[in-house]
Amino acid sequence: MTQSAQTHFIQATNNVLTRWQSKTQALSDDLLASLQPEYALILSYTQYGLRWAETRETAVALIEQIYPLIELYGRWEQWLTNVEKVITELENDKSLTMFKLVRCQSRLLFWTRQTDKAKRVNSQALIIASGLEDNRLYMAQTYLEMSMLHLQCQELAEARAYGEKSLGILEKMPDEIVLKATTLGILGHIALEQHRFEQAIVYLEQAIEYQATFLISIANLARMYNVLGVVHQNLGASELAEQQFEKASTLLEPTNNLIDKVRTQVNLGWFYYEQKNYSQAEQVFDRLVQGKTLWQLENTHLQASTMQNLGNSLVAMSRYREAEDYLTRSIELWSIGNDKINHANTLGTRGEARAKQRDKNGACKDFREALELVNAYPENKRAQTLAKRFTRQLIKQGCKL
Amino acid sequence: MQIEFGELRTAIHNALRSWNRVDDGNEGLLEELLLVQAILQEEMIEATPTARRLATNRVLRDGIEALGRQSDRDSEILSRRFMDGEIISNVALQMGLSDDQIKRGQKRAITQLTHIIFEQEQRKREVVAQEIEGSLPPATYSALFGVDEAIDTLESQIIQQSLPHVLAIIGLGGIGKTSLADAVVRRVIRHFAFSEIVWLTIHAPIQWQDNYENAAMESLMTQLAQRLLPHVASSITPEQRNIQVRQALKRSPHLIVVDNLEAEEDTAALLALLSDLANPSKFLLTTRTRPGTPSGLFNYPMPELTSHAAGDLIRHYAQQLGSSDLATATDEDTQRIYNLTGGNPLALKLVISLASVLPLPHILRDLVVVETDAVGQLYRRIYHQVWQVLSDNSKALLTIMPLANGNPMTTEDMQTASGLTAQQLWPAITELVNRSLLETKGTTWERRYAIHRLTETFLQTDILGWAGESI
Repeated sequence: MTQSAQTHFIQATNNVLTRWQSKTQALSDDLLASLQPEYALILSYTQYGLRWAETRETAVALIEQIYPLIELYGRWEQWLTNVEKVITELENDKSLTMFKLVRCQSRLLFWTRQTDKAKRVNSQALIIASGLEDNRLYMAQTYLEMSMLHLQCQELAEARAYGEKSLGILEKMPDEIVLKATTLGILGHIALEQHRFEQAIVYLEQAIEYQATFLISIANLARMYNVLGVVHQNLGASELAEQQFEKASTLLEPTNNLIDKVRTQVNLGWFYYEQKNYSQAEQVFDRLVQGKTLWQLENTHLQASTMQNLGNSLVAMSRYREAEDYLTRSIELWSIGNDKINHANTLGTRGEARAKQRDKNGACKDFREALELVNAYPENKRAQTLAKRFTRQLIKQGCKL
Repeated sequence: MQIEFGELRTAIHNALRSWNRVDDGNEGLLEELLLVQAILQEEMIEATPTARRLATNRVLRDGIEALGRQSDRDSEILSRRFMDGEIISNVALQMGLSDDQIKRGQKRAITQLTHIIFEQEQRKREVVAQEIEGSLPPATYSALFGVDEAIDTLESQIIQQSLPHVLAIIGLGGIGKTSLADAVVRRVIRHFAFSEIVWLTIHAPIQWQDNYENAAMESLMTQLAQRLLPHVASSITPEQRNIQVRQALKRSPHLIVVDNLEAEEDTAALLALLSDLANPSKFLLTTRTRPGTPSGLFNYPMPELTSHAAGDLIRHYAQQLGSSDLATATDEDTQRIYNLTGGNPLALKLVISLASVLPLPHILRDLVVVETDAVGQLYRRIYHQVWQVLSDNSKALLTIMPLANGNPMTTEDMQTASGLTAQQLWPAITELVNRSLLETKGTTWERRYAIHRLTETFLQTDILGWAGESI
């Protein structure tokens, strides 16, 4: 070796980071699936890359580029530790690299559900971005991130304001198609949450047009069709809603994206339920419950809600005995997932099914247990609405309180 | 569990008699057969009593069909008697035979059916064993010396259903803990006592130093979730992940090997976690330090090789490297090496690999200086000697290996990082493997390479000069 070991090692780090940058330029679903064995290595390479000034920029660029990979395979705490360590070391740095590091930190905080800290960090990113030259793209990225964070917290007015700021900048940047499509999708979602359905359709249709024209990501496109379906459903345009869910379903069919496949089916089943087409809803939920995919996901939230939806559909058709079985299994799953409010909600539904079968003791037991669960959340609006429902039922059934 | 023909015959007879029986018990089911387990795993959502019965019946039905290809009459007797539930006299009447002929025919048919299912099961077991073996990291040894007793002890402790649920192989770096664990697991596979065997390696980056235990637990749970719940989406929280991993381990017995658990500090919380996850599943750990003695933990301190076993290893390894003098060395010669290195397999291998380049007396003379030093110093000396004789390309390649942080690296990444050409890369890999500085990992189709933790420490402290730094 003619150069020093340390120089050789830094050069090696740069070489390998550059290789991965080029390898992950377009992250298709198939490529993402194939990269699991490499994930620990990439984490290690970037960890070394962040260490030296000579390699830091490349490391940060790689991290930004592989967000979908990091979102998929986790270990976010470890990534966060690595990124925060460099940010602390660079303290007063206001460079573009520092801006990108702070944005990475914000995203990792978002994934680790530390949304309040993420908002603070993102405000820091805005300050750094405002001092950078030719900063329109960076401002738009940061506003979008802010919008997503506020949407996550259901702070819809703030989410909308930041989303619109991002879109305002992007309207003047015709080349930033990916970011614009994402921003439109987020604005569509916010509009749906705010019940501004017509506006939601405008945003989502534009987003879909971008996604479809430039084939950015099948999963994202399917998600947008799903959101659009829910918007149409809210507007009572059932045929249009169904079409969107079917489009999402068709898109996902040839992919290995199991979770979005199941979510699409759940949306479809829920759509039929809302249409009071209970037998069709039962068919959709039953197919999910009997199939393997839902259970392969090991996602208790999705399993519990699907089981509950099946139970609800059966209750709606007065098939209380069968409904009780599914609701009981749903209750077990909520309990495993430690989701107490949904657990209480399903207990309430089972109580109602039991009451219809004249099982007063069983019903009262369910309502009492459900009430106890939601009473632990005095600040939560949904929990308190449920508490009122259970109290009414306890009185109606003549249960001992 | 091993399968015994006589017991299988009885079980098959019971299962035939229970053809239409569905209840919560295990009566009349063939659940110990991998043939049945495979059907349940592949086609059924949950192992409900009905699903278990259907799976057992499927295996019986396939067997009776195969029996039909040997003897129509025997197959018909079993079908009528058990699948259709006809009484003997009725079957006799329908088939134009006597009651006695039916009774004898039934006995013969059950024995034949048992032969058929026994063979199918043996084939299935071979396939499953090979699949599990294929999922393990490749063995890093070609032969093991002086560990037969250790393998027997650990094997018997692991396959028994009762305590201990957590076992630890304890020993110095390079003593062969991983190799021993690998040999034990390959034996355990053939008992089919576990529904799944998972091998995890804890790679401890330097920044874990301050909080090793928590970081190790997080790494363990993350890796377990990836292996046991491969479709877990990012939507579940670490708490949900932990609950689901625990459920999977409680649902059926798994053997989890946790290699390289190098805790220096108190590991009470980690052990408590493993104890909570265990039973019926079991954990086999390899670690440098004794992890404590809570109940249910079985510590196996790994001794150094005896001088006799060390002599066998020296000759075997020298033979592999083509070092004919050492391959035929006398016990007296090998004892001289053993006196300096002790019975530590990695140290022995490094010295033997040096002997193909340097005269043995020269190597031994250099080691005498540190004879009374700590083992770490001895390794350092040996590594320095080995480093001196490496080619430039091998040095360039070895220097970049800490980049992978203990993870097996692809040859593409090794080439890109080191800057070597393809023509330079393979001779360098061969040289490093021959000198026990690179460990071969991956599969036959995709080879990967990693370095031993001691090699990594040497590179970081003595070559890259990062002693005491954290990355």
